[in-house]
Amino acid sequence: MLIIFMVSTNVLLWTFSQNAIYTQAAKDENQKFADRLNENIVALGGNYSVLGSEVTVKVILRNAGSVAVQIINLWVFDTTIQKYNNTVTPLNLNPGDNRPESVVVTIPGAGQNDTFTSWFVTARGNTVPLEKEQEGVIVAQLAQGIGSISMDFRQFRYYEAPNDNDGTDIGSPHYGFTIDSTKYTLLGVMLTNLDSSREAINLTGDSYIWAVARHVETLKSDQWNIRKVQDNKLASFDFQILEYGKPTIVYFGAAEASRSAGKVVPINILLFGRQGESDYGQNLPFIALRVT
Amino acid sequence: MLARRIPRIIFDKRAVSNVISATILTGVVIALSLSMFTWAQGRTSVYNREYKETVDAETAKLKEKLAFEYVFYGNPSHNITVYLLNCGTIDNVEIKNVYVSNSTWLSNPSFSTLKFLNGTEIADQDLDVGEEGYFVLSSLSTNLKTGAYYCVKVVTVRGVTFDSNFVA
Repeated sequence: MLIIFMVSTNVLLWTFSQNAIYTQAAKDENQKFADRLNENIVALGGNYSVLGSEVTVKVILRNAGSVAVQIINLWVFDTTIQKYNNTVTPLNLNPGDNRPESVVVTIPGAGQNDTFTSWFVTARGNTVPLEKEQEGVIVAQLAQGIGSISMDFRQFRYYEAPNDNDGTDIGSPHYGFTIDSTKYTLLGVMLTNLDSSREAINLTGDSYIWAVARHVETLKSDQWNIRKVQDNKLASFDFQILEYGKPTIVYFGAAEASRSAGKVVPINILLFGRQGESDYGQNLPFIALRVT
Repeated sequence: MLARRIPRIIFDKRAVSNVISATILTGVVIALSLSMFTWAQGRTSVYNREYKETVDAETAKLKEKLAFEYVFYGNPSHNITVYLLNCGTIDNVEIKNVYVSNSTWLSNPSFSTLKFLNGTEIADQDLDVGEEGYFVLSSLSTNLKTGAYYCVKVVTVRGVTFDSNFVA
């Protein structure tokens, strides 16, 4: 009896231990499967340029998921000549990372006017297709901008500063569209450079926000000049870089909107500067403000 | 004296003493028990080993994972090139068989040696963790119909199947 008991117990315990090993392996694989499902890489703004046999793919990669992702490969298929190739692209993205990338793939015989389709491959085996940017002028989100600049009007904020001097603390932001004409108001605007050339835009001190009240006998406007803010304090302006695809808060002011008092006025943003070797100039209608 | 005692011992019909009989019986029982234990242990160890091998094999199958990076059907070569990535957690994923099929047709074409993406042949003909490779399916029983939807299924040596679809 004792022998039977010992042998049975031995077999039973061994079976349990093996089952536990298998169960643990199954759990590990389920976790890896879940991680694979949680991968969410978005490849936006795909842009192809061809020089000889080299196809340069420019793209903005965004990790919209909750797990870090390792991208290992880019495949490019030239549908015009039915040829393809791939290149190793060791890229690592943490959740929330937003990164412009440029990758070169060699496809013999590729032409500038060919049609391409591409996808990235991640280390977990997921494929991420490239979304090609629209040709011509980039159209920003509805009611949020015209041309190369996207303006997020929901992120518009203003600050009420005691004066316009450098070093003045600007206080906390206010989110709204009513400002006080008797106070020095600093306007904060979220701008994103979506220019098709993907070059950064360098705004100079000639940029400003302006507002013209209707029904005025002479055309006078209130103006907020572009300004730098450092450590929540006003600083003298030198330059403002708008990098491609990167939302940037640009400040204008501080100024009193005395000419617009008692009116609802349209706000225009005049941006002037340099883009690459060329001048950049754009005037954009933006929001409406009530000036009390 | 001794000559008279020996026949007496041999022909004496009286029983052996209780202590000796108990000792002999105990010894016999212990010997039998040990032999039975050894036999049972041998049998169960065979079972344990087989069970362990089964669990190890199933665990290895769980860990195998191949991702299809790209499947390309060449025209006019009529070959299918399959690009794979070992995104699992176990090495030595070896391909045993490949099938191409659609809803009404199945083919088991021969496949070339496994190569790295740069074209060099993989020496051990298997994909370790993180390795990418490709093989070419040729000598399909029939040319694929352009624009039709097909499935390519890869069966590994460990018995796991992976499939992907492509349009010819």
